[in-house]
Parts: sequence; C-alpha cells; structure tokens
Amino acid sequence: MANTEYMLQTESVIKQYRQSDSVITAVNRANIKIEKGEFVAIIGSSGSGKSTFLHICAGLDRANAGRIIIDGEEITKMGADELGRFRGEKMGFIYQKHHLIPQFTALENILLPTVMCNKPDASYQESLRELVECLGLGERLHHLPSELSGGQCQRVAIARALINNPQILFADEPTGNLDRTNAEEVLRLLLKIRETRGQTLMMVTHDLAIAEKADRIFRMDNGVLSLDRDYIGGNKKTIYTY
Amino acid sequence: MFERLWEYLSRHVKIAAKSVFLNFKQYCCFFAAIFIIQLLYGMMAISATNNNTVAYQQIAETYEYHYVLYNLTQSQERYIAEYDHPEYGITDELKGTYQIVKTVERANANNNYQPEFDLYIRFGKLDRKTNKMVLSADKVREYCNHFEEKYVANLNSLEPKYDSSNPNFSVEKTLLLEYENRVASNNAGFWVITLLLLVLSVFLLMSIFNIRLNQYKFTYGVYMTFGADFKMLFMTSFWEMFVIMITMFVPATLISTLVVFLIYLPSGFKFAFDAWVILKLFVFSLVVVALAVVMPMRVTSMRRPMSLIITEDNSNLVSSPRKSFNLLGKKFPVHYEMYSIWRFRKYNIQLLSTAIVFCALFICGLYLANIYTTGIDYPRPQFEISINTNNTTSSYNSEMSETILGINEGFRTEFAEQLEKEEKGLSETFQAITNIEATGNATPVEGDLDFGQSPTTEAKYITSFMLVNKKNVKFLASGFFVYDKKEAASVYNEVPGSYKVTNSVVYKAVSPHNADDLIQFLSQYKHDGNYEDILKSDDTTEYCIIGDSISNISKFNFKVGDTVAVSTKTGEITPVDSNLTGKTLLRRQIKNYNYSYKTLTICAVIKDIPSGSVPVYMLNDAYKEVTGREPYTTLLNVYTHSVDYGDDGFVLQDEHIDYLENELREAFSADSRSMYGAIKVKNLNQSAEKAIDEDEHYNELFIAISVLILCISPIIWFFSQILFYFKREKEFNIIQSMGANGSDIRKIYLLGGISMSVLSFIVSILLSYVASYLMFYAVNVVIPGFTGEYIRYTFYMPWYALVISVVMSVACGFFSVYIPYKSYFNNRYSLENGGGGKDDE
Repeated sequence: MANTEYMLQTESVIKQYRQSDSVITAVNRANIKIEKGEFVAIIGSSGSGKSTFLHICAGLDRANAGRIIIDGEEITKMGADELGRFRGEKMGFIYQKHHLIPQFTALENILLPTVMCNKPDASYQESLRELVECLGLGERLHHLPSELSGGQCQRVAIARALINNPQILFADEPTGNLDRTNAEEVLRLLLKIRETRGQTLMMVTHDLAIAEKADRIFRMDNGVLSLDRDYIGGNKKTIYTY
Repeated sequence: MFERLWEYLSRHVKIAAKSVFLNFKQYCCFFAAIFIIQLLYGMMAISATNNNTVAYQQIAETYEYHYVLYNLTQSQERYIAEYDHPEYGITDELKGTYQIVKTVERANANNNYQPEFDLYIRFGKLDRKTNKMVLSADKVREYCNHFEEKYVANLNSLEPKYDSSNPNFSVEKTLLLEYENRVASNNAGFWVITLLLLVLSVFLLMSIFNIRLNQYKFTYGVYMTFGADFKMLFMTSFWEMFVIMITMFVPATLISTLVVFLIYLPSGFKFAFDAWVILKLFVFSLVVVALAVVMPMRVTSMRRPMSLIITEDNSNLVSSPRKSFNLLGKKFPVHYEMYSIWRFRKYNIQLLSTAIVFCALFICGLYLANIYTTGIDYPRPQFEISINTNNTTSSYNSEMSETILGINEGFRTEFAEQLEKEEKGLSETFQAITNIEATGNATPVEGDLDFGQSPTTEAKYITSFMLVNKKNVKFLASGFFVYDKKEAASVYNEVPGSYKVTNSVVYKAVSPHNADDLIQFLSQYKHDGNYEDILKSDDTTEYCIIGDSISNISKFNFKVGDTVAVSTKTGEITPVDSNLTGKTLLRRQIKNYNYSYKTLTICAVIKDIPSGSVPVYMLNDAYKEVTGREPYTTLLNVYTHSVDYGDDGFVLQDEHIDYLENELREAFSADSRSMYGAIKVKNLNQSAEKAIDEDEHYNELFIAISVLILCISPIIWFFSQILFYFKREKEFNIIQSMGANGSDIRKIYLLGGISMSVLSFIVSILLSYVASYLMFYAVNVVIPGFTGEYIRYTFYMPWYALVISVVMSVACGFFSVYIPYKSYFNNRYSLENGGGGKDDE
C-alpha cells in the first residue's frame, strides 16, 4: 500500500541500457522514501546514474523494473497521457541546462506549464508576481533566452518549474552550468522559495557544498543508491545502504 | 458559452500565431505546402461544381425533351396525345405534367403502310398563364415515373383492342432526364478524388511535419516535462497549422478560382462560382491539418520526455560519428562524407522517397491526362440497332450493311453545301457512318464492349473452357491452373504435352459474307499470320484466329500453326456446387462433367486487341458445334464519323446526328425492310456525351494538378536539407576544431550535394518507370475490371515528364545543399568579422 506521508517512494527501481552486446545497469534496485517538505540531495560521480534515477522518479524516463509512487499515486502504472497531466499538476523540473524554448520570451517560458495544464489566467497571477519578484526577473521578462545570461536563464527555468506551485521539485544539477557566484545566488533563491512554499525537493548534484544544505544526502555509485548522511536527527552522520 | 469559446480560441490562436510568424523560416515550408493543398482541392471542387453546370448547359442545348416513344401506332399516338383517360384511372392530379414537343410520322411497311409515330416528350408543369412547361428538376423524375406508370404501361394493352400488336415500339430516356444520374456520378467521382487528395495532402503535410518534428523534438520534450499530454501536444501543433491554413485560405481560394477560370475560358464557359466550395475547401483543409498532425503527435506523446530532450543535448553530435572520426585520417573528407551518407541512411531514404514520390505522382497525373483524352476520343457507337431474336430471318447480313452504309450518300447530298466548303471535297467521299459492328446470340457478355463484328458466346456461360499447351502460356501468367498431365490424358489426349486451362474465352462466329467487315476491323491491330484467305473459304472449320491477351495483358505466345482445344459440355457425372467460383469451379467442372473437344489450329494471332477474355474467331459451323447455338447477329453498333479519324475538320453536329437517326429509322421502316420484322434503333447519345466530356476539361485540370504536385517536391527537398544541414553545422565546427579546414567543409557540402543528385537521379528514373507502369496497369487492367469497358492503351514513358521530373530531382538534390552551404559560410565569416554571441553576466 502506498503511504501518503511520503511524497516520493521508490521500490527496487532498475534501469538498464543495452550497448552493443553488453547491458549497462544505470540504476540498480534503488529504494528511497522522501517525506513531504523534505530536501534530498543525491550525489555521485559522473555516469553513476544519479540523473537517470532523477529522470525516472519524475516520470521523464522509463524504468525497466520497480515501482515509483508520488503522493500516493503509482506513476509507473500510469499511461503516457495520465503521467503527463500528473507531472504538470504535481511536479516541477529544473534541468542542468536551462532548456528554455528559444523562440519564447522569458515570460512565455515561465508561463509554459500553465498553458500546458490549461490553467486559467487568474490562477497563476499571484505565483507569477511572487516568483518574478523573488528571482529578480522583472526587467527581463520580455527578453528572449538568447538575450539573457546563463544565470538569468536558469532563474527563468526555476520560475518555470515553480509557476504551477508543484508539490515536488526535481532539480538536475541546476547550478552545474553556472559559476560559483551565480550558482550560490540561484541556489539561495531556489531554497528560499521552496522553504516558503513547503515543497519537497529532490536534487542531483556533484557539488558537496550544495548537497550539505539538504536534509538527507544519498550517494549513487555505479547505479547503487545509498544514504550518505542524514541531518534530520540532529546533524548525526549515519551511513547505511538499503 | 461563446465568451469562453472565444477566450479559448483567442488564447490558443494568439500563441500559435506568434509562434508561427516569429519563426517564419521554420514554417515557410508549411505555408507553401498548405497553399498547394488548398489550391489542389480548390481547383477540384470548383471544377466539379462547374462541370455539373456545364453538363446541364450542354444537355439542355442538345435536348429539349426528356423522353422519346418510337414507332407508335396511331392509336398509341392518340392515347399519349389525348391526356384524359378516365378508363385507365388517370386523374387530374398530374394531368399536364408532360408535353409533346415533336411528332415524327412515317409509314410502316410491316403494318400495311399504317402511319407510325415518334413522340418526343418533355416533362414539367404547365404554366397556365404562359402555356409553357416549367421545369422543376426535383419533379421531373416523379412526372416521368407517373408517365411510365399511367401512360407507357398501357400502350401495348391498347393494341389488341385497336390494332395488331406493335413489336417495334420502344422508348428512350434522353440525357436531359438522366442528368441527375450524371450529376450523381460526377459527385461520386468528386468524392473519390476528394478522398485521394485527402490521402495525398495528409501524406505531404505529415511528411513535412515529421521533418520538423525530428528537428524540434526538444521543444516537445520540454512541453511534456511541464504537463503536456497528447491532447495538448496535438492542440499546440494543430493551432499552428490552423493559423497557416487560415492565412493561406483566401489567396488559395482566389488563385484556384482564377486557374479554373483560365482552364475553362477557351471553351467559352460561363463561369459560375458556388459559395459552398468555400465551405468545402475550409472543411477539407481543417481535416487535412488535423489528420496530418494527429499521428506524429500521438507517437511523440507515447515517448518519454527525456528521450526527446536528449536529442538536443547531443545535437552537436548529430548521430554518433565515432566511425566517422576514425575515417578522418583516411582520404578526408571524401571517405568521411561517404560514410555520412550511410550514417544518415534513414534520413536520406526518407527524404529521397518522399520528395521523389511527388515527381512520380506528377508523371501519374500527366499519364492520366493523356489517357483521359484517349478515352474521350475512343470510338464508341452512336446508335444501337437490335433485331428481334425470335425471327429466324432477322439476322444481320451484307444487304443490311449496305443499306446502313448507304445512308452516307443521302447525308452527302443533304449536307453538300457544308461538305463542299471543306478543302478536300468531302461532298464526294465523306462517310458519316464509319463502321457497323455486329454481334449476336445475346449471351450475356459480362461488361464487355464486345468488339469484333461477330455473334459471340462467353465460354463460362456455356460451361466451356479452352485447353492451351503449356508452352504457349507465358511465364507467370495468372488466371489459369495447371491441368495435370495424367488427368489431362484421361479426358483429352489428342494433343501431347501438359495443359493450362482457362474459361476466360469468348467464342466468335465468322461467316464468309461478313469476312470483309471483320478483316477491316481486325486490321487495326497487330497480328501474326494471314486470316483473310482462310476466312473466305468454307472448308476451314478446323482453324481459328485467336487473341493473345486476357484483361488486356498478353498471356500467350501463340504462333501460327499451334493448336488449342475448346470444349463442349456433353453431360454431367455429378452436379457441381453452385457456390463455387473462379478456378475452383472450373477445376470441379472438368472433373464432374463430360466434355467433347474440338482442336483448332491457329491461323492468325491478334496481338493487342482490347478484351477481357481471349477472343477465338471460328467459322459459323465450328461455332455452332462448340456453342450449340445458331450464329445469329442480333445487335448492331453503328459508329458515326469521329473527328480523330480524319484531319478534314468536319465535325458532326446535333443536326447531323438527328438526320442519321431519322434515316436509320426510315431504313428499317420502309417497305424494302419488311423481311426483318421487329428492329429497334436506339440513340446512345455518344456525340453529346463526348461534347460534355470535352467541355469538362479534366485533362487540363489533371495537368494543372500534376504541375502543382511537382512543386511539392522542391519544398520537401529544401526544407528538409536546410534543417538537416543546420543541425550538422555543430558537427562541422567540431571537425574544424580537430583540424579540418574550410576547404574540407566545402568539399563535404559539395559531396553531399553531388551524392544526393546522383541518388535522386537513379531513384527518380526508377520511380518514374514504376509510376508509369502502375498507371498503365491500372487503366488497362484494374479499372476495366470494374467498369467492363476494355480500351487497349499501349505502355509508354512520358519522356517529357520524365525529363522534367529527373532534372527537378537532380537540381533539388544539389541546390538544397547549396543554400545551407552558403548560409554556413556567410555566418562563419560574419562571426570572424566581429559578430558574436552574448557572454554570461
């Protein structure tokens, strides 16, 4: 039975790729339970499978086996259309590259999820105002992505991920393409908004300094997920493997 | 409700319009494609509507009557002329729904020179004020039914009362009455073409849409990340296409109207525009746009967003060029680019096939136009003369032939003034009636025009078949089954060897007195052997003249002196299941029935005679022996002068046809014809039909449509290649960073262009040939199978169309690479000369 106390639960998630004659296991029986409002970071070296796991958790990629339950709903059983709608309703996603649509202005990119979910105009005005103010995008709303800096683009991407006020936010190295100053600023803003809204955050990063801000840190090593640190119980370092 | 709808529409259309017009370069190809689609359908829809109008104009000019009653006796004529017949229950209700517009009177030699009448009837309601018939299209059919039920049905019952019976009496419905059927047939044709155009248009738009989709998967991946399901993806693309469709709608409607107007202008057609066409065009465009988007979007929506987004992440490596890099050291860039053609094989195959298919369709269109013209000009009988089969004297003979052809003399006298004006002195030589084709025995010949001036019996209707030596059957010829050697020996052992059997055979009788007609008829076809002497002798019952084709496809390689055996059913061993058909039935018949066989030696082979079944001509005695029927001729097809037969420029007009019709009727009613008994002459209206077909201008329309279809090919080439090379620019930059120079990149572009040109040259020739052959097969075999009208077309390659198609493909293959090449180097130099991107803040 799905436990609705957890925002995200995964059970024995496996993802394999076939390359020529060999099979590569990118994610090997990964189990994780994330409570509502929790901030979880996943660290690991390049190619360890952490991004793949994040994509699978967000329903952006398909697992070969295992179950993924978000807010009590098993997304692994959902069809493509149902999953799409569910994603629009409950999830937000920030990519390492901003992945803004180059033809759309910053504002249009931010409002994209509202269009995709057919939200009425009035429903997102407050959220938009808040995000624009908080992320300092007021001056740049009508600029195309090509006219924005990398940091600004990533802030637009954050606003886009948050505009529908999702319950869980997935971030795939959101500051990976930014310099230290920009990265810290973007992360500060992201965490500030998350805290205000009480959203669950699952972030993949290879930057330990960023991961340190999480409630729990998981480590992905050759597709195997393990808890690295747990700060919930009074900064006590606990290491165990599921 | 409307406010919400308006809000919904304006929101989506606004976003779509912005997306389309801000990224015009991405969408310009869609503008062109949708414009062409609308133009194609607009032209078809406008012509179809106009053709109904023009057909009506033509018919109304030719006929002022709906119905003709021929050879009425005086009492019958009176019955029709006097409307009121209370004894037959004719009430006032529909009185005056017809009018006799013309009465022709002659003396009938068969009936003691009693007067005989032809009445020409027009249906409608009498306007009592003007005393004129008012036509009301929807009522005409009703009035006609009433007329047939209350008046025509009683005509023969009048005869015993007043006169002897009147076997000559016949009726004929004119094209004016059958106009509705013609409209219905035109409309059915229109909807079939609509369906074909729909398929073609959806294929075109979907091809272009897929090209775009492949290049912009990333955008849809992002949409799906943020909640887009299939419906949303579909709507996003649909509204974009809708905006383009609406933008092009007015220009396409105007231009298609103009094109059709120009096509019809030379024949002085009064142009009529039906407002419904606009609605039809709108709905058609909407359906095309929706269908073209729905499939690609459904497929995309089934994919996971990451699989779409990842293409953008890896876009600097268009597809894994690992092997290409290995080739850098070996004769770079020739090997590199040659390998790239293989690397992008899926794309290349898709591009070549899609783009060149439209060139092939262009050839098909021109082929169709040519065949349509040939079909119109194909000689068809103007009159049909049927002879009462119960009367043993009523068979066609040379005297009758002379009488019919003798009408030409009267024609030349009557129209001497007109014929004299012609340069070649036509008043001396002109033949208004060019040919008489006589058939007989009235065995139903399924859907066959039955060329061949002979009494005819279809083999399958008398449970007969023909045995052909296996060596005479061409390789892969279908429509037969191998008749086992051992099995054959048990029933037929006169000719050694194994056999194939077919019952797609028509037996045709020839007698020495109509041999000249037959020789003249057969001389228009290629043939081996000499049939003339044999036909003129009475001692040649063992010989036959045979065709080499079934359903217009050559299936036999008969030689003069070869033999075939034809069978005659003599008895039954066991009955055959009546539900069996085709080969199974034939096989069972051979097994269950007893047959006698007649071996015929082939004296001539006719090579290209149009026919559904193999014609086997044999002398009357042989015909009687095989079919068990007397070789009576019961039907005459009378052909009148066709403009294509001569270059004299004299064209038969309505008045000439009327004259000939009257003469024919006179000829069979005059005292010298009393020996023939009941003979009915029917006007088949071919002259009027042909005039209408010509005024419909379908051949010009097919040409216009073909040219438009050809224009689609460059759109696909340029759109596809520009996007493709745009994506490859990153690859070229990487190669340059690895040591390649500008000259190498130029060579890559050049090699790409040349290789696509060479490939398109080969593919376009192949596809053009296949398209021509398919068209040839369709018109020669498939369509006659449905219509039953076998016209023999010869296979040809439309060279001019082939050259246009090949040159177009080769040029597009090369120049569609040239534009991205220019663009790449221009951008590169502009960057080198100070252009640049914006750094991160």
